[in-house]
Amino acid sequence: MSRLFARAGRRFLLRHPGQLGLALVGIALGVAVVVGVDLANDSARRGFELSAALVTGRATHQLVGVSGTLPDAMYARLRRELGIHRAAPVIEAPVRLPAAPDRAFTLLGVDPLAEAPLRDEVTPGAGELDLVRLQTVPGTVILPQPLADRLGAKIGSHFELVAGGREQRVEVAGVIEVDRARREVAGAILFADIATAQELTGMIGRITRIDLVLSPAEAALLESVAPPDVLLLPAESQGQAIVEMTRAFRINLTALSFLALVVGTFLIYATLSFLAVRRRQTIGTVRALGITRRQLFGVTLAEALALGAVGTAMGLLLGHLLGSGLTSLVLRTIEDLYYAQSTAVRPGVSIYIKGALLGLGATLIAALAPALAAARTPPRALQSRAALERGTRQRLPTLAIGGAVVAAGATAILMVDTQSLIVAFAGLFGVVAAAALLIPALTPWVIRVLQAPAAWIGGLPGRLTARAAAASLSRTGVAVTALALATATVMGIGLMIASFRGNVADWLDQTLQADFHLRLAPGVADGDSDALRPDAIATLRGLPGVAGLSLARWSRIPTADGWLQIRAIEPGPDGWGLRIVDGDPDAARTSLQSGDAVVISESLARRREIAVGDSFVLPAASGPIGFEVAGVFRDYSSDRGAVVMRLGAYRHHWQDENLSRVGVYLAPGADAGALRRALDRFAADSGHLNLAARAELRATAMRIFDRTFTITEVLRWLAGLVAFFGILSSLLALELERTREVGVLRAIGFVPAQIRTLVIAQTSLLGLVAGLIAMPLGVVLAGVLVYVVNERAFGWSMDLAVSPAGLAAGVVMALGAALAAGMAPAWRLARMPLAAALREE
Amino acid sequence: MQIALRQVSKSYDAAGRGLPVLDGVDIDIVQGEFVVLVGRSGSGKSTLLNLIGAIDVPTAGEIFIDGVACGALDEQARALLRRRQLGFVFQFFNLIPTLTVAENLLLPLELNGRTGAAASARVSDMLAEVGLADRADRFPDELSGGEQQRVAIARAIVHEPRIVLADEPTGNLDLETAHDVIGLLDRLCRDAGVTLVMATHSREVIGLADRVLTIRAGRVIEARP
Repeated sequence: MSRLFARAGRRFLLRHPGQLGLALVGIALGVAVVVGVDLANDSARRGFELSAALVTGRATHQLVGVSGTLPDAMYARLRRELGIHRAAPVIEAPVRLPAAPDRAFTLLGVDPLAEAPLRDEVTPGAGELDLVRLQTVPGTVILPQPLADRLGAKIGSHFELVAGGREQRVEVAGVIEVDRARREVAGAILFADIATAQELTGMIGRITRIDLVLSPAEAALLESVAPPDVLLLPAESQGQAIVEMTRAFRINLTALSFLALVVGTFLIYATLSFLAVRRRQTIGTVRALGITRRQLFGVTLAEALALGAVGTAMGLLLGHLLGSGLTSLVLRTIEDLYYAQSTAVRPGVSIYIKGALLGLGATLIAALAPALAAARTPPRALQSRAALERGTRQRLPTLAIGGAVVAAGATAILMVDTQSLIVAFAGLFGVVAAAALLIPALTPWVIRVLQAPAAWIGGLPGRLTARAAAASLSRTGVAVTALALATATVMGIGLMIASFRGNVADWLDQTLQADFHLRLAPGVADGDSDALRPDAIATLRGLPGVAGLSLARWSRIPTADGWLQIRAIEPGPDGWGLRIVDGDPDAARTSLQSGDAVVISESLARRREIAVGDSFVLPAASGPIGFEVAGVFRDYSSDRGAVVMRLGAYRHHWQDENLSRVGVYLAPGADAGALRRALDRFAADSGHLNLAARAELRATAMRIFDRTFTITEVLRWLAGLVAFFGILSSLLALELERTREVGVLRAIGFVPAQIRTLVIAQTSLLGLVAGLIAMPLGVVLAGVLVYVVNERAFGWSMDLAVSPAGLAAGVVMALGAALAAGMAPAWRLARMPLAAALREE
Repeated sequence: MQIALRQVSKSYDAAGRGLPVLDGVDIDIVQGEFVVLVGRSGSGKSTLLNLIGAIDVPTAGEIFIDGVACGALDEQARALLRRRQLGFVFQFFNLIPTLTVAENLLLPLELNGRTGAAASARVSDMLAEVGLADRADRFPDELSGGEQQRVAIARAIVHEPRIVLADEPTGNLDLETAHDVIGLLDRLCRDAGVTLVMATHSREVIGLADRVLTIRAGRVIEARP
């Protein structure tokens, strides 16, 4: 009999293609979002890893200078005096190719004769490379095959390259084959002899680092004899740094995609519940005919799994398409956030397998409750609609208590003192789960509140609308919960982004104090240009209308935990432009002024667990120096962490007189246009400076901010889309179930327009209820995202800003989704042949 | 003639072929008459009631209600006709489950623009007539089957229609309750001068009717009770 019942189930679905289609779309979209994000993340991560592996090779250690470069004589000394032979000098520099302007490339300068222990690409044994020509002819490079193909270059051909701020012409001395796995990554690297690389980048006599393969004894020896301004670092930590840095970003995306799957799972549950309810009479009948509960449970579950399998297959296909779109968004965002270029690589098949298992697993979990409900259905004679609704109502207190317990658990998880992002997301999902249990219990209360205004506005039909929603709680509860969860998710992420945006805007207003900003052009190393030398600064000070200057040197110093940014500042007339969030702000600024203390960014304080008053040791030219941490400042420019110190102190300890940027303050009453023109001329004359007014810089920063959140927005709206299809499915089922009731209303004289109004009013009411419930939930989710997830993921704090417009947008979204979802059933019920409607069971 | 059917035919689409149910039916019913439709299951009794009630439209022929040709009416006009002139009683009661008993009765009145104290008084009177004055604030699922059908009868008559159409109103009730319900319906309609057309299998009802129309093979054969 169970086979026949299964057949009846199949036919039921086939006779309701709309519901079948919507159920499949719900599953497919949920799976697609997870797979798409996973593909993008995996592709980016593997791209970073392969790039790092290609650049680092088999090195166990790297020798780096605290100023960012090393004298090349150190390499010779290493081999000659210390007898370390498995060592290779490297120049690694970003370059641009006018022939391929849409992406960045890396120039890797190497010594082919020293490469063999480290890398295989440019060694005497590697294919038919003309290494003699590479080493003896200036301006020659070796291209990996994919890049040569892209540029249409072959041995002997020439192309333009921008390095060290200058456009130069280079010749292709060789093309190397790259294995398939590294094909995409290798397409972004150009190899040159170390001397050529020095000439191209302007780093004459200097190198970026020395890659080493060291035994522990050799490492210990090298560490003991290394000069104070040189550091020996484990290679893996440097290569993996970007992978680790982007980990939080990727976890965030994965969590968001899981949120979409959770919403999707809930929608699968809603769809299957509706299907079970709609087939209640059939189920009751077959129960009366003798099918056992176990058989019924098995058949219902198998049916759901079949549905899940088809939906999952569709989801995998859709996810594959989505993945390629998301990959470029993910890479661009990583580039904006971390200034790290990478290339997507072909993702592994395991992602599709994982996606398939997730889709089927989600369907199975979602199907459990409806399958159990079906199995518990009494034989037809005993089952009435009223009994079903009574049962639903009786379960509400249990659900509410369960919800309260889960909410307490989630709160406890969120309050655990840890930096773990996984724990934060466990708490976030706990909040969502608690809401899923509490919303059905809240729904009748909210409807009750809305009943009086509904009756006042719509008379008896208005009351009918509200009552119908409250009376069919077995269906409306699920629909409202699904819509409220989805709305709260979209609203919560929206509030988080809006809060973040507001905080970034405030931070920019505080940070960008000068009226005009001069910076070295991209690709120009600080030491390469005379544009910001002391005489140029003196010229700037003397320009008419200048009230003062702020001077800054931004540099990177290597540490065992990766590169660290130092911002050495000589503040302008308006002070430091820092918002101190930990420590006494006035005391911190006074200490900074003295030059003995530093302030550190929130992300650095959090990541390295440094507190105000601690001593922070930095590798300086004369060796490690401890600085007192006078305060922690808010900084949204990088989650890698930054240290601010006085320019004089930096110059003293790092013996670096260069400047990277200058802020120009306009004197009160001076002509801004005239100063702008003078600064334009100054920048143009230098050839290496970019000029931007404060407003332009602020606008650019906000544009980048918006761009980095594009992916979040995309996921936010994908979650919304999943929800919309789910609510469409739920409301369609709900309204179609009322076909007979609507038929009666039409029989006693409701005109089609009144039926349409009634149905739309009913679905809109559900939308309104969902929107009202979603408001506080959205704020809670935003709070968790702002105060827990963001702090742990990126290390920066922000203030949650809950705007009435943001809240209203959520209600409008829920109302809009319900309204749109109600259109089709409204039109269908109003036009349905009345005789057929009255016959409908 | 209050209700007149002229050469009315109705067929349904079945697997792409027309399945005839009624074939060239002619019926005349005068105001206040109690007409019973009998016939085997599937003979077309409900179809005929649906056609008279402007719930369905004939494949051919014309139906006149108070001289108005229903075929010329669009759905809006048919809805208004049902609202003002007709009352329905169904086998499965078809009360609105989310409205109380009193509200179910109020619904046709509100649709006809009758609200306020007068409408409430009319509802109270009707409930008293059907013996359910004390059930006004109950919901349908709190009533027995017989009580629900009495509410349905009250709802069909409360707005003072000229015609009541009842489709096997006792089909879901026990004999004793069915007897009460039919008696009530007959009394209320006769008191108000309302035409009652009822499809039924009940022999008892046939005894109360003014006229019995038997439907067989799509045709109507008239007989006196």
